[in-house]
Amino acid sequence: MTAETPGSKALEAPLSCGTVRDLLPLLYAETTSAEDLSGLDDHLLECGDCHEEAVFLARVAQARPRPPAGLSHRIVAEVTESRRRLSLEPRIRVAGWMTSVAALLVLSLGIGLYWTGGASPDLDFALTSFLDADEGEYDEWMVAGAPVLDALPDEVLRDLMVDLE
Amino acid sequence: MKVQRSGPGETPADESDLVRAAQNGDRDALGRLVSRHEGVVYRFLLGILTDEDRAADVTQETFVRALGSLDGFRGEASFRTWLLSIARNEAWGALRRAGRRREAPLEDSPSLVDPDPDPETKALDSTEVERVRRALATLPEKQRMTVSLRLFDGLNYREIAELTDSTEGSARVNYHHGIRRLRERLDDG
Repeated sequence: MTAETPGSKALEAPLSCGTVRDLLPLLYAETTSAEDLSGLDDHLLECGDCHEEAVFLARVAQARPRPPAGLSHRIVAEVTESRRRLSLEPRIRVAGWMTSVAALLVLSLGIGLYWTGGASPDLDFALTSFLDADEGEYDEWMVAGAPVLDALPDEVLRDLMVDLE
Repeated sequence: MKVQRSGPGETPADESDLVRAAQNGDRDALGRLVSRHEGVVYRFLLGILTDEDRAADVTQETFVRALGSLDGFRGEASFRTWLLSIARNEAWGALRRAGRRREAPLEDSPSLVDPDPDPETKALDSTEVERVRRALATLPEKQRMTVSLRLFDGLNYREIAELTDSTEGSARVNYHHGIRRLRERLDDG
């Protein structure tokens, strides 16, 4: 069957009705080049049945549904917008990540300020003196070079305050 | 007497150039690709969804999906076939979301409208175009889609078979049965 290869050598020979019936719809299709179908007209001039079929197909083809006006513009606008959103997405993701980190830092700073700001002047002084005390004096209650006041027994704390005074 | 034929239509020779340009963000190329294929996509979807508004919406979704993933188009099939495959998936997704699951294969699906409408409906079919469209809508789905893809858009039977889940031979038979049935309906009219 040569119907799927219009323009091939087979079209140079007289066409059979079967081949013509196969090709006829392409006469009315939007995407078919007219020159691909050379040879059909000769057959249609001679064959009444095929001509009548062609007339019928032309009648049906007139009912081809059309997309609503403006659809292609809507599509191009939507595709363009969609691409713009996609191109922004990585930047938005990075910005979001950075905002989270910044928020965490601010929160940590706030908590730190709250705790240190809430301490009494006496305690600040005690801490300073504690750090300035003789080396090894309070090693037992030092962790990573910082005093753990909560861990100090009351008696030691009292001694510490006396020393500081 | 010469049979009047439709316009020559655009050749697909520069299709790959257009696709490449659209991939690179060329808005003009994008517009030309859409103009070239919106008709066939719309008609194909209308055949499945049977509703003009939904067909238009899903046509838009199809292009957004397809043109958003143009990098995935390798050129193994024609751009049109690739686009229509995406359209089919989008249509089935739309039907699933609407709760209209496709239980039966296309071949067994009933026709869209009553082939013997009441007098009031008949009166509405006042124009020739409406009569033909109504007759088309009475065809079983696979015949209707095959006639539409072949006659309105010039797809070859291999492409039609791929899109309607049938063989090339079945697609050919569906076309001829569809046309014969259409002629009977319109001659009865």
